[in-house]
Formats: sequence, structure tokens, C-alpha cells
Amino acid sequence: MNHLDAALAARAFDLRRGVRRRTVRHRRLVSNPLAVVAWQLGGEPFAVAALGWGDAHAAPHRAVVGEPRNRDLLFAALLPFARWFNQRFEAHGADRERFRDGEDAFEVARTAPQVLVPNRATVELLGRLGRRLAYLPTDGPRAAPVELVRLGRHLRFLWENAAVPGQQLVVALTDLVNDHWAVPLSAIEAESLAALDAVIAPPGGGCGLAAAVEAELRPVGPAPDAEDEQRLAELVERFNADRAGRTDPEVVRRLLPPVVDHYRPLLRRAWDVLWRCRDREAPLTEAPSVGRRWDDDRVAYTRHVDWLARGGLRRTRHTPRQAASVLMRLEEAGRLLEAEEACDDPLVMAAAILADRAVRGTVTAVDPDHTEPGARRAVVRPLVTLRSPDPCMIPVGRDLWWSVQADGREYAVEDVRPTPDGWAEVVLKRMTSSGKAALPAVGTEACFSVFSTARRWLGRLPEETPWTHQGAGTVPEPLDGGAPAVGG
Amino acid sequence: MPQPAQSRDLDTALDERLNAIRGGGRPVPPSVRALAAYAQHTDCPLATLGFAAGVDFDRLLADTSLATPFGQSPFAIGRGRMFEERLRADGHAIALGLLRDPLGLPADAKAVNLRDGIPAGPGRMPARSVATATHLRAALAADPSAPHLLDGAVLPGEVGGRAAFFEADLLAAPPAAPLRVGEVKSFPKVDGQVDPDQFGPALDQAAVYVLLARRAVDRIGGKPDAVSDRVFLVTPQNVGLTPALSEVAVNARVRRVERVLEAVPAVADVAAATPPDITFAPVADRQADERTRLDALHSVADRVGTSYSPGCLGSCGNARFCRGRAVSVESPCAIGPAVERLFPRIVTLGRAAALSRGAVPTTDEAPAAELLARAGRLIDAVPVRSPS
Repeated sequence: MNHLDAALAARAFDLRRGVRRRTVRHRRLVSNPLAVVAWQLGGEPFAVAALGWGDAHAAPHRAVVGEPRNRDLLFAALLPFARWFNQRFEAHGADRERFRDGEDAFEVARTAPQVLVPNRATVELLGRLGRRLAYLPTDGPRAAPVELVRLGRHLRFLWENAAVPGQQLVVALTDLVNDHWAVPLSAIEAESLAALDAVIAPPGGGCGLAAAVEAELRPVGPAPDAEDEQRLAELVERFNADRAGRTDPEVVRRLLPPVVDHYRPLLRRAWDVLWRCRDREAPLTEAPSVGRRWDDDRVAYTRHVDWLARGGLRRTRHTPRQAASVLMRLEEAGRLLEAEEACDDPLVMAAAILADRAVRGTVTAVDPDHTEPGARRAVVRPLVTLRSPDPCMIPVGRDLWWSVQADGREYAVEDVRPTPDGWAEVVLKRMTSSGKAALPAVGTEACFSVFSTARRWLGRLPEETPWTHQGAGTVPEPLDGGAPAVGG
Repeated sequence: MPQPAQSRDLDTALDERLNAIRGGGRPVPPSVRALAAYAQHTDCPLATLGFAAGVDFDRLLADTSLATPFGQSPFAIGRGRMFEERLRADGHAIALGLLRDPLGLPADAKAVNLRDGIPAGPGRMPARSVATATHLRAALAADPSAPHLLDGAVLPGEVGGRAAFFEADLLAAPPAAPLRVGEVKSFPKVDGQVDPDQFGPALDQAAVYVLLARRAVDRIGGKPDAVSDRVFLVTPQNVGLTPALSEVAVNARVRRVERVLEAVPAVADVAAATPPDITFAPVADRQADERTRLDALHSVADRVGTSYSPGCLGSCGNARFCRGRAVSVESPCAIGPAVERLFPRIVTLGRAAALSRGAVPTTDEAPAAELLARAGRLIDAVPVRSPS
């Protein structure tokens, strides 16, 4: 938390309401997302008890398992979801455009799917479900339906991709809302989407804090509420007793309604909150850099569907080599995201100014012809003088980037002079003489920050993994096997 | 060992005092779970008092709007029980089969369930701890008839100067090797990994048993290194109930547990420092109306003192009550320690908001006020573009 966020949180507390901490929307929200809400059973991390899904608020679909600890019942209930999801998820892969990256050219899907879930915990649950389904055998005595295996691989990909900062293929609403709102709640409380929604838009317009205290008692999954589970336990017990080991659809259809009735309001609640929060963010203007990140998402998505089409599998644990390159990619994505958000949004940049990582002010002088001795002959190094209304503590020599050309060349801080009125005069030197890059005009406002949005060369890993990083690989095993769980 | 009469009288007086604070009812014994929860609130006088007197904070505010839902899912409980029963079936055949090679147990290893054959009642835990000590003595003496696996061993400990009993899931005694402490958990191990959020607390729990087992061994004349700090965890493998073994050395955790136990204030001191008329009785009274109960807790909290932080929400039954108090006085701790640190000597969040709008700071507030005012100016300079 920085001082700007703290000030916003104090103001939000003062108003008893959430306040915006972003002026633009920093994530894409597509018009037809694949929204999913889920509930699990206590102590069963690799199964879902109830699922709600759909691509519009008004048209939810629902699956209730009845006895999630029974593999046949679970898989049968998941099948309609898998068919719906796979079809929509894979459809984006058909329409391609040519993409050029330096010397490489490749085909990339024009659009990509976007999965919406209420919170991080749902992403984790879908990832675990994906782990369970993705590696199941599709032939032999315990064959699993092909659709479920495909679903598993998609979910596994989404879960893995969710670690990329700023990715938009799977959006957890708690992350989206917390990124865009300052709320008078602690980080733990702000993990509850119901509480977030209540504090931002309290029903009846009253005190947001009081509304959040009430709303947090009505969770939106996937972890079940203990009291709900007490009621559910009786229903499941009766369901199991009545079906007496049978799993055929006819019996299940007849016995399931009480369990469905239990989950109907829970799914509805999660579904409504999810869409309410999404629809609140959607009208906001999209930040300029979102498109660049969406391109990355499309590339990641295309790679996944192509890899899948070739029958490729993913390791469940990275090799040391993979781990190193993944970490490098994640760090670079995080750096770019931070820089792009700051350059896209004056409220984000304000935090950087406060932390002496940026300086803004009025351009008072520009010397485009300033020269200084170079390695062999004199070179042009234009100077820009900025009058900042804040004291500036950035050290001389620090590289800064002009926020409207953040992917261009750096400016070095040449001189910082405090003025008697508490302001500061900052002289910046552009480190290239290239005539292509424009300079700020005298009299305009400009902002220079440590944020560069240029992509960096990520280096290359050694051809051979050093012995320090050689570990044992693991072969994924199907999770279903060994002694059966309860509810057989 | 017979105790001097005077000490027994003192104990009785202390018991009565604690009983009065608790307002009747059986005290909550200091279990590993209670200890772990308390370890996060050592700076809270109310939590300290409740822990010392054995007040059930999880249920104290039950049936009020501020109750914290801490119940466990019946499915999770059922799963845990089923897994343990599987391990125990047929003379612990599955457990012994799993542990035999990794721990070096003999082919004809025997297990004994210390829960069996001891009647329920207040004397049950002491009796089981005596039985545990007998088995430990036999194991240390390399008695060939000694069992190799103790299921439900009870280890005596001392918390805040009061005797307490802790139940270890498994205690393995391989021949000619140190004793090994084990925990049984029902969350799965997948791809060679157990969910780290659950693994850590399980290891902390095992570390408590390592420490207490060492003390138990010490009392019967053995050396502390007769108990290994390499504990084992038995969890289901993948989604079924086939057991898998994980082994971890927990020496750092043992040292930490030792410090936590040492830091628990003596129950007698806590009782002596508590004003004589303090009691949780009217709070725990489920017949009384909510207002009366909460008012009673407010008056206790006012006099004893509290120390709320959002971390309390996950481990203390009074957290929602204390949060309400923090919010009503606009304390920065309501949002969290990070905000608190950024607002040194600014008493309320409302005041912080006012300073961000340019209010004149007092001398105390001055250090934090400047950045706040700058932050406020920067925020206000940004044109509002949001549609809502």
C-alpha cells in the first residue's frame, strides 16, 4: 500500500463507501464472456458440488451433482458444462490473422474467449478440477469422456495463465474490483465479492460498511458456509440412501430436486453479484494499453489451442528450465503492466509522483540543439526543463521516460533545483539525437517517470541446464485411482 | 507426586476465580488449535484473558449478529474420520504398510490404539498419558513386546503454568532409531505436493508434539534426541483415500513452538491482574437479548483492552465484535496494519481524510500530514471521468 492508496482508503472510510482508484478500465471486458460460478463440498478440493454458467446475466445454466464424491455422478453432471464450455472456448481459434514479431510471423486468433469468475478461489478450484480431468485416460476400463479431458486441459491452461500479471483470459471479479476501487475494507475482507459489491453500492444507498458486514455472511463460493453444509448434509445423506448405489440418470433425476433446491439460491446469489460487479466496470473507458495485453492473451490462447490440436500435454510441475523462463516472463509482464497502467492513468501516476518515481510539471524551456562531447564527436542531447509544483527528490543521473513516449528512449535527470517557493526545476536530457522522437512543447504539461513500456530482451538460458538446477521430472498421474472415496 | 496442601488450596482458589471469569461452564482445554489461534493474538489483553480462563470465544457470541461462522463442514469432518478409520482397520494394517519401509519398522510391527479401553470422563486424558509414558518407556528400553506405533498418544504439557494434555495422532517407535511423530490429515497430496496453506499448520501441530514428546522422554530418563525432529504426515494420495507419506524436518518450528509456549503468560498472573468483577457470564447467556450481551462484552473490553487487526477475523470468535469497535472509533487498524503504519499518530481515518483535503495538522500529525496533503492534492487534480 502506498500513500496515495492510503489517502484514498481514508476518504473511502470517511464516505463509508468505495471510491474509484482508477480513471480508466485497465482490463478488457468482452461482451460475451464465459461466466462461471461454483460451489464445492467441504474437504473435497478436487470436485465441484454445483456449477452455474452462461454468457449473459439473464440466461444461466446450472448443474448440481448431488454426490460430488462419486466419480460417475460428478462426471455426468459436468458433461453438459464441458460441451457448452469447449464449444465456445475453442470457437475463437478458427478465425486467424497474421501476426508479425520481428522476423517471426505466425497466425493468431482474431478473438479470444474470456472466462469470468467471482474470485481467485474459483480460479484455483477450476485449476484443480482441470488437473483432475486433463490427464484422465479416454480408453480402457475407467475411460473418461473426451469432452471432460478437453475441458480439463482448457481449465488447466486458464489456471496457469492466470498467474500472468494483467492477463484477461480469466478475470476474477475480486481482482478486477480491487484493482479499480479503493474500499474501506482490509485485504482479507476485500476478498469477499459480496462485501466489495455492498461497500461500493450499498443496497438502498445507506452505509456501505454496514452493508458489507451483512453481505460477508452471504458468501458467493466456492468454499461452502458451514451452516449451509449442515443443511446440505442431510439432503445428501437422503439422496445417497434413496439411490442405493445407483447412478443412472433416471434415478438421479428423480432424487436430485431437494439438493438442487438447496443450491439454487446459492448459485443465483453468486451469479447476480458476479454480473452486477462486471456490469459496473464495463462502461468505463478502456485504457489504451489494454489492447497490447489482449494481443498477448490472443497469442497465449492460440498457442494453447494449437498445442492441444497436436495432442500436446502440459507438465504438472515445471522443469527447472521451464520454471526459470516462466518466472522471467511473469516478471516482465508484471513490469510492463505496472508501467502501462501508470502511463494510461493519471491516478496511478500520482502514486509514482508521491513516491518520487515520477515528476510532472510545466515545460518552461526546451533546448533541442544542446550538444555535448560524445565518444568520437559532439552529439546532440536535447534538454527539457520542467517546473514541478512538488519538491523533487529524484537523484541526478536517473533514467526517466516521458509518459506519452514511454516506449521510446530514456531521458537522464541532468539537474534538480529546488525553487524558493517549494517547487522544483528539473532539467532532463534526452539520450538520443534521433530526429524521429518529438520533444514536449514549451508551456505544456509533461510527466516523466521510471516507467518504460518498451519490451526488454529477456536474455537466453544456457543450452544445458546447470547441474544446480537439474531436478527429477514427474509424469502426471490420473487422480482417480487407488481406493475409491465415499459415496461409491 | 503429592502436592503441598497450600498449593492445592491456591489451585482451588484459582480455579474458582477462572470459573467466575468464564461464568460457569467447562473450560476449553488449551488444544494445539487454541494455542495456534492464541499465538496470533498475544498482544490482545482480551484474547489473553479468554485463553487463560478457557473461555470458548468461538461460541461466546453465538446467536448474535456478530457471531463468527467458524463451524466445520460435516463433509470435511466425515472425510477425516473415514480416512483415519481406514488407516486403523485390521490392526492398523494400512498405516503399518505405509510406514514400514520409510520408517524402518519391522515386518511384524504392532500398533496400539490408546483410545481403546479407557473410559470417558475427566480422568481419561491423564490415564492415556500414563499409558503413553509406559509404552514410551518400553520402547526406549528396547522391550521386544513394545508396540511400534502408538495411535492417539497423549502427551502432558504445561500452558501458562497449568497442566494440559495434547493428543498426537501417531507416534512411531522404530527399533534402534529415534521416535517419530506423525500427523494424519485428510487433505490430499497431489503431484508430490500438499497444499502449502494446510501443510504449514499441520507441521506446526506436529512440532508441538515433538517438543512435548521430548519432554515426556526426558521425564522417564531418556535423552531428548530420542525423538526425531523429522516428522511425517499421512494424507490421502490424489482424490481417493489411499494414504501417502510426506516427511519433513521441523526443528525450526519446534524452536518457535517452544518460544510460543514460553510466552504464554501464567494463568495465575492473568487472573490476579484482572479486576475482580470481570466476567463473561452475561455475554455467554444465550437467553439474554443481543443488546444486553454485547453491552456486557463492551464493558469487559473497555476495561481489559483489545488489540484488533483484520488478521483476527480468521482466528478469533470476537473479531467481528472488535472490528465494529474499531470502525466506530474510526481507528486506522480497521483497514489494516499497512494503513496504520502510513498514518503514524493520526488517530482516526476521518482525520486522515480531512488532512488529505488540506486540514491544518497538529504538531503530532505533522510528519504524516505533509504526504497526505500532497496525496490529496494529486488525487483532486485528476479529472473525474468515471461514469458512476
